[in-house]
Amino acid sequence: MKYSLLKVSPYVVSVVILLSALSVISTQSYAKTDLSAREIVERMDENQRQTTDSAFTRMKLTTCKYGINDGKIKCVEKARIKLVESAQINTGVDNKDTKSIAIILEPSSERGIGMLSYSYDDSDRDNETWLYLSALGKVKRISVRNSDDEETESASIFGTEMTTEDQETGKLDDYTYELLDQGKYRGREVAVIESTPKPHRLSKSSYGKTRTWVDTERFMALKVQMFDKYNNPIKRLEVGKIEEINNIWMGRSMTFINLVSQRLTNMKLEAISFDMDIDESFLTQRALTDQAFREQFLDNLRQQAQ
Amino acid sequence: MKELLLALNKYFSIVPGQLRPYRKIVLILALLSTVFMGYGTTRFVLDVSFESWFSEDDPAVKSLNEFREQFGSDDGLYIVYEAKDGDVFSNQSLSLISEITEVLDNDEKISDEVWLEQYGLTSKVAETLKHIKRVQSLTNIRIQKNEDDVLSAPLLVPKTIPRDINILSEIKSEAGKHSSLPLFMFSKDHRFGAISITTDFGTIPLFENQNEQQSLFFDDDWSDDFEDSVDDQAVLQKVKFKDIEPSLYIPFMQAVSAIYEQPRMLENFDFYPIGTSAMVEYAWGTMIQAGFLLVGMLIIINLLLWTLFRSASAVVLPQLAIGLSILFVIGGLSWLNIASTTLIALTAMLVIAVGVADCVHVMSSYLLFRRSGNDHEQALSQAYGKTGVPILLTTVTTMAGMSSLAVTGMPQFVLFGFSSAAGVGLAFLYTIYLLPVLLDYWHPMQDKKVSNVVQQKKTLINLIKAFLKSIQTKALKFLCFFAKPIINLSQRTGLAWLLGADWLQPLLDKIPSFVQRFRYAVVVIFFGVFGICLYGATQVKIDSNLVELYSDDVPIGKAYDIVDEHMMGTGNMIIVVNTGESDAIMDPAVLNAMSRLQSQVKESYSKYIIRTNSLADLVKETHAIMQDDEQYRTIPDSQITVSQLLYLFNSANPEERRALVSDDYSKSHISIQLKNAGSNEYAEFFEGIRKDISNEFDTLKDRYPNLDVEITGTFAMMMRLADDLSRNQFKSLAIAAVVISSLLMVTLGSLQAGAMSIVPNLIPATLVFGLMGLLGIPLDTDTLMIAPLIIGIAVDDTIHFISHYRMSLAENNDMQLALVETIKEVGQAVTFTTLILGFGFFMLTFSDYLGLAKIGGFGSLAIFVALLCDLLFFPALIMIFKPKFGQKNVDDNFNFQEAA
Repeated sequence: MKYSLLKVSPYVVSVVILLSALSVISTQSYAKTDLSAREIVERMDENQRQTTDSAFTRMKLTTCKYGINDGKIKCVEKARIKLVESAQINTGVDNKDTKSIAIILEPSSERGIGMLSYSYDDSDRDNETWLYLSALGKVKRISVRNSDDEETESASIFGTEMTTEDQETGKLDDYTYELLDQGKYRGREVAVIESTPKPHRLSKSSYGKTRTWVDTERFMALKVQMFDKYNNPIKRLEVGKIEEINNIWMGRSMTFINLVSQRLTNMKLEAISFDMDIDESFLTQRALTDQAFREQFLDNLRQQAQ
Repeated sequence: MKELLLALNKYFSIVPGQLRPYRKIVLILALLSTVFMGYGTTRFVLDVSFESWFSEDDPAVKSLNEFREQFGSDDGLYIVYEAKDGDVFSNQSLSLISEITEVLDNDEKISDEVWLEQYGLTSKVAETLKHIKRVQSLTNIRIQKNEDDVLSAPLLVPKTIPRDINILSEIKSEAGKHSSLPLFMFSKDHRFGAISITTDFGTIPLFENQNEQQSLFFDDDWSDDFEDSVDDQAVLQKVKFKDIEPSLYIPFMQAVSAIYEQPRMLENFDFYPIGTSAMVEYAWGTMIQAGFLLVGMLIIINLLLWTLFRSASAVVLPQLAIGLSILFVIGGLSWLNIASTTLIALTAMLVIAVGVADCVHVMSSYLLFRRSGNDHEQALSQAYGKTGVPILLTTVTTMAGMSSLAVTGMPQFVLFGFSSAAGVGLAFLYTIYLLPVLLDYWHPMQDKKVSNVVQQKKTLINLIKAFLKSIQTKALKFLCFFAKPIINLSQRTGLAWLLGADWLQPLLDKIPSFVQRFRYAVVVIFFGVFGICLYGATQVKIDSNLVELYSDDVPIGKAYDIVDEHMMGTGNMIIVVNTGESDAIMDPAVLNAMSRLQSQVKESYSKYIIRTNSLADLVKETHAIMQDDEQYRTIPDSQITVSQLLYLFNSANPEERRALVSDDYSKSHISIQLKNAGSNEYAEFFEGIRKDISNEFDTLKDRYPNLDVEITGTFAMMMRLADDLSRNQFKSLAIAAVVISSLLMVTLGSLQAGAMSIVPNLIPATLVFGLMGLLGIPLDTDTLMIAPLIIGIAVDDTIHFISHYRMSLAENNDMQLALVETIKEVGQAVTFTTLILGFGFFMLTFSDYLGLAKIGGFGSLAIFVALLCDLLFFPALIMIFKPKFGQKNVDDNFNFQEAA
């Protein structure tokens, strides 16, 4: 077998949360910025990490092959739709550990597939992830030593065009940043920043460089363009439906456009709520295997979210 | 007909005179067109891909392209190594392979200085390593484990390579347990290992209309709210991928080999790389070698031309005319934006051959007339009058022969046929219209040496020395550097005597009486040989074998042998399963059919098949792992379970998933690794697999009416090529023979003469096919070229011979006189073109590329046999059958013995 089943798991849960956080920004407002490229990126990264304690999300992932009509990108085939709910709490000493769960609701063939993940602040303690395939009725713990994480080949998120590499935060030292220009874009003050992986990073990356259109007032990305190692634009992320929810600005619709496979995935945050009351007992293996138990908790969260 | 020929004779004889007033204009026109075509050659494109054998709309190509579009290209490099300590799992072997793997995998981290100092690579060459997408070897491969409901994927070999023999032997036995590792990563006896490199060759996207200048703040009008409804009007944009050129493979291969060819590595391993990169690098080497051989061919041609004419102009001008013909062909193709194939080299050789023959006949005739006292203008006019028609005839027949290749419909042959025909036509135009103008400016016997030249009986060596001395330019001194050793060598080996050609005329004089004495024996022997060869020709097998194009003792041949014998095999066959319905591949019935087909063909053809792989295997393996029980190495009964197992796979590695099954799960494929063998050996196997496919999949057609299962891959293309060759081999040959024969009949003005001339014309080609049949040399894409080449070259001399005889007969009405004159006049030119081309082609037999070597060997043999036909067989036929070639009142008495 040429692939590692393990690559699927450790990312998925945290990614759901990170995704929702990608465009989360503070309400602080800045005019045209004097910050350096690196400072802008740091600012954005900081905002992305600002996940609040106890979050619940429900997202719809739509994947299809696309074509162009009248300059607009449209699906040319029946889209594959996945519906995923996830919950996360911070726990442990100083709330620095995280527990999260993600459950697939649709399509029916994947209904009930779940991932449970505990990540620990203590670097001596390995993160833990459990995977549940409902059709087999089995829970598997996935063992990935933190130190073993050098195989960073990008994995797909829920089998869509979104990859784990698209969602990475931190590791700012792995890149060099250049501020290409500043100006108005889609009615916002924007800085365009080009980040290029440093040699040690490049060999593992799918991208030769990326360009990010950063809103310099809200420090959120409006658009990201990914290039391959030969300077071909191969992928694009478009952020849409930017809204302020609970004092937080976020893009509720994100579209990943793979220009090579001509497929796209749109991720729509159908619901997102922070500061939820999530019982830690929900974030256990029982939530994966016991459907009734799980539904009861999820119902509760759905109601809270409304 | 006779009138036409006489009119043509007359026309050709006045051409040089008519051109004389306009010679400057002719020269200027020639110069301008040369510059134009020379500029065109800068746009020259060479297509070396295997697909260039097929037309774009060929079903085999279409299905392969569709396959590549869907599942991506697998253009990688597979480096097999043999551990000199006999164990790829020894601490030493593993440590060194780990080092190589690290460098290949982390090339970006290495600085330019290190590349240069340690590996001798410039940063430009080292940069090509960025095409590596993935490196797999024993030291970085991971294995899937499931123990106590814990999934893990540890490295097979720990980062710190163990020294303890017990631990190493545990690793060895663990590796053997994972079915995907043996034969892929190591041989069963552990002597051989492999490093597998996946590249992005063929998958680098090419974006047209890319507007780099577009402002960063250009409002791209992104719709804020994405809709997932299907838009029937939306146009799907096809992404094109960059064509891979040799210029990419060669530095890449150079960089990779510099890494494993470190002295420390070579002390412990022998390396055998295979894959397109290795093949192209090797092919490139062969091309360079062929270049040297061509230089050798040119030296021989020069030497012989000098021997024959002993005049610098007679050596230089024909070559100039030929060079220009080749330049025009290449320039013309480039201007027409037609990518050339490697066969362009053969076109060049053919043009050289035909052009040399044309010029030799003209020059030889010209000199004959000069030596008999005519001045330049007279001699030139007479020479063209005498040789113009035969040259026109040979040109037309060769062009017809080459164009007949077009009926095969195989793009390479069509292109080769037409471009060669054009080249031969151009060589004719240059010979008839440019050569006389050039000769006006610079011709042999410029001074009043005319009278005493004939008496000069210096040896060749002295003449060459005199020639070299007389020219003081540096450029020619450079030539001397090469010529001197050859001259010295030729003196020692007696080649000087051979090249001196003083033996030729006396020998030619003896031929008529010899033939008359043995005429029946000669005819019987020739017909006997012809008969045997005809039988042999029926035994010729058609067999395309990509690997056997190279001799076994060259590295690439060895590498293929080793991979076939010890590792996973070099052949690849792909069975594409297209259900025509979304998600149908996840149907357990479909997966089970795939799986059963795999076991079926593996069992039936274990001689050829080394391993098979498909999505079904992946589902089974994932199933077993998730259930933690080998009993579950099965396709699950429910589609939902399959779908969840595939969900895992898709999430883990979408690229790998895309390489195995289409995005909508409607198409997948079975990949079969085979031992390389010729298409002939596989014909039966191929048919068998077709039957197995319909056995397994026909029952599914009720459920999936659009189900389509097809065989593709380079292997299928090879089979297809073999099919094409067998359908076309005799077709084109027969057409060529018919066209040439009818042309001969018409021009020779008699059915009898035409029929009689066909046999000597057919003998060289038949002989070659016969020998191939008898020696078991298969007909493949290279050897197929031999026939048209022979028709193009060998037959020309025969035509010169016959048409000269006929003209002489028309003039004198005396067979004996005509024959003697023909042998004396044309015999010399024919012998010389034979020597020039025969030896020239013989040089090619030294090529490591067997395709070229075979063409050289057989071509050379055919050329010499054609000479024997002209000098012995044809006279014998004339003496026995006494054809009158449409003439009346011909004296048909032969009595050479008395005359002698």
